[in-house]
Amino acid sequence: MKEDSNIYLTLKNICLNLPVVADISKNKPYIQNTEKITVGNTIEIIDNKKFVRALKNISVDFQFGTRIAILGANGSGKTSLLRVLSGIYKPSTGKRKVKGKISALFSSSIGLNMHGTGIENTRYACALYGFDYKETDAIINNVRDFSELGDYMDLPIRTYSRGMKTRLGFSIITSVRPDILIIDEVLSAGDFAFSKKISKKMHEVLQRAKILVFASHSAELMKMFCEEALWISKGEIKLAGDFKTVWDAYKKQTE
Amino acid sequence: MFNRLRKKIKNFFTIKIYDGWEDIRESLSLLKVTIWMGWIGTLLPFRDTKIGPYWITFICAIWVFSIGIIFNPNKAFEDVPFLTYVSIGIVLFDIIRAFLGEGSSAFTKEANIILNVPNPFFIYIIKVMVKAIIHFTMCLPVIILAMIIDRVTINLYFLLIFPGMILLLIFGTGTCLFLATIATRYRDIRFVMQASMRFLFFVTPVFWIKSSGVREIIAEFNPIYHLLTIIREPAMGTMPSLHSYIVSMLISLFALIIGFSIFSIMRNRIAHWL
Repeated sequence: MKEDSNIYLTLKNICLNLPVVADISKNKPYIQNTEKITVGNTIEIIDNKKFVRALKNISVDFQFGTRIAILGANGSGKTSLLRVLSGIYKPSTGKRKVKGKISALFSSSIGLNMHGTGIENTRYACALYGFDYKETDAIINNVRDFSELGDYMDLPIRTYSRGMKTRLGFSIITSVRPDILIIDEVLSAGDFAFSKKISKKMHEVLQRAKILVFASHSAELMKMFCEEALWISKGEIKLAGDFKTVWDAYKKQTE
Repeated sequence: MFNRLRKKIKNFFTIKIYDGWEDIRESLSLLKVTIWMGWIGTLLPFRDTKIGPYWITFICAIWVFSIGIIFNPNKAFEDVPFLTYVSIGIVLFDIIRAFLGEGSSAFTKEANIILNVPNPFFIYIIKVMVKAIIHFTMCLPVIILAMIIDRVTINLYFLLIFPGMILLLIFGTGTCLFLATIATRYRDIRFVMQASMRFLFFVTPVFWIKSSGVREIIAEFNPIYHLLTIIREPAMGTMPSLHSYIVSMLISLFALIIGFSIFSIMRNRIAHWL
């Protein structure tokens, strides 16, 4: 228990500038138009190179037990923030400090290869998420039971229907057991019976995480799991605090 | 200007190198699963075929025997077992082609994974290497067959192919690191590599033998020739020249240093470009 409370994830003065490499409209003056843009972030020219300023001076401090929802319109920098938090994007300036095992669930179909069997794809995903061999074998059995795919696990997933692929993907990603769980919009698919089952399993997974960072458009889910919320707009923190206050303010603004 | 450069150099030696090394160390701790990923990545495209991955062997055999028969310079070089010469040349050139070609799309091809799962970058380089090694192994029967047909006798020099292979792999790691990183930023690199591959095939003594005149000069200034020689010659029972060893070592070391430096410097921005 003492070790657990040592888990943290902090960002200090993070800026993230994503370079615009493929520039097909060299002559269009981006900069003058930024006020008209309502979605997305500002585009700026630094050292003669064009950048999307995805995050501007963000500082957060998530300690043990934090359950936080990330709110924001499309293109406000939600996913960028989650990617910086999980260590996929390295920040342009600022520092990120982390202690604890991180899992980032951004998509339920990562690394699925159409020619591979269900088992091979499960193994592949487990390899990507950093499980070792023993854990992988256990997970494969769990996935077989939980997804109810049975013998289909030995067939190439080319033969699966879309729903079956979703089942497989969800069964895999809900096997993770991280200290810090970062989720971006992956909780909506599957037929009715399965989505009931998945939400139960998802509850377990979310509850197990010691730090939860959660971005979703579903208010109910976020209400259920998060005590705090962070509202970002145009790459900046607009409001942070307990969930209800932030959510009300966010809702008011969008209406 | 000068101050800024000095600051950058200092930054490189204090932070960047450490970052790059940390990435490689982390990747090596995932070596087992990475090798498995390369393995499954090689096999899966052949999953629905009847012959399966043996297609690799088959394609290699057809390529080797058609060139070995058509370009055989019968009388002039009777001391060189030409079929063996060609088979080893082609198989090794295929490895180098994989380093240059697949290496330059190592990160861009995996963009979907890189942007969704936090993993060190070097594992995608290892994946390319593993794929190349598997291809090489699948082509070995062709070389053995060619050696049997040519009645090549193996002597103690044969052991020299192992240091040769190690040098080739070091060269491969370096070039892959360099190309993968650069090609993520400059997407033209991939096509430059594709374009130059044919050119490289013709200027490398794969199916022609280094003799006097223009061919000697071309071969001498082609680093790939030296990398080929230090493996091909011992396999055919002769000692490669010391000169080839020195060039190979220098070129491998150079590739590794440049590759590692560029990778270390740009590593933090690789994901931004995807």
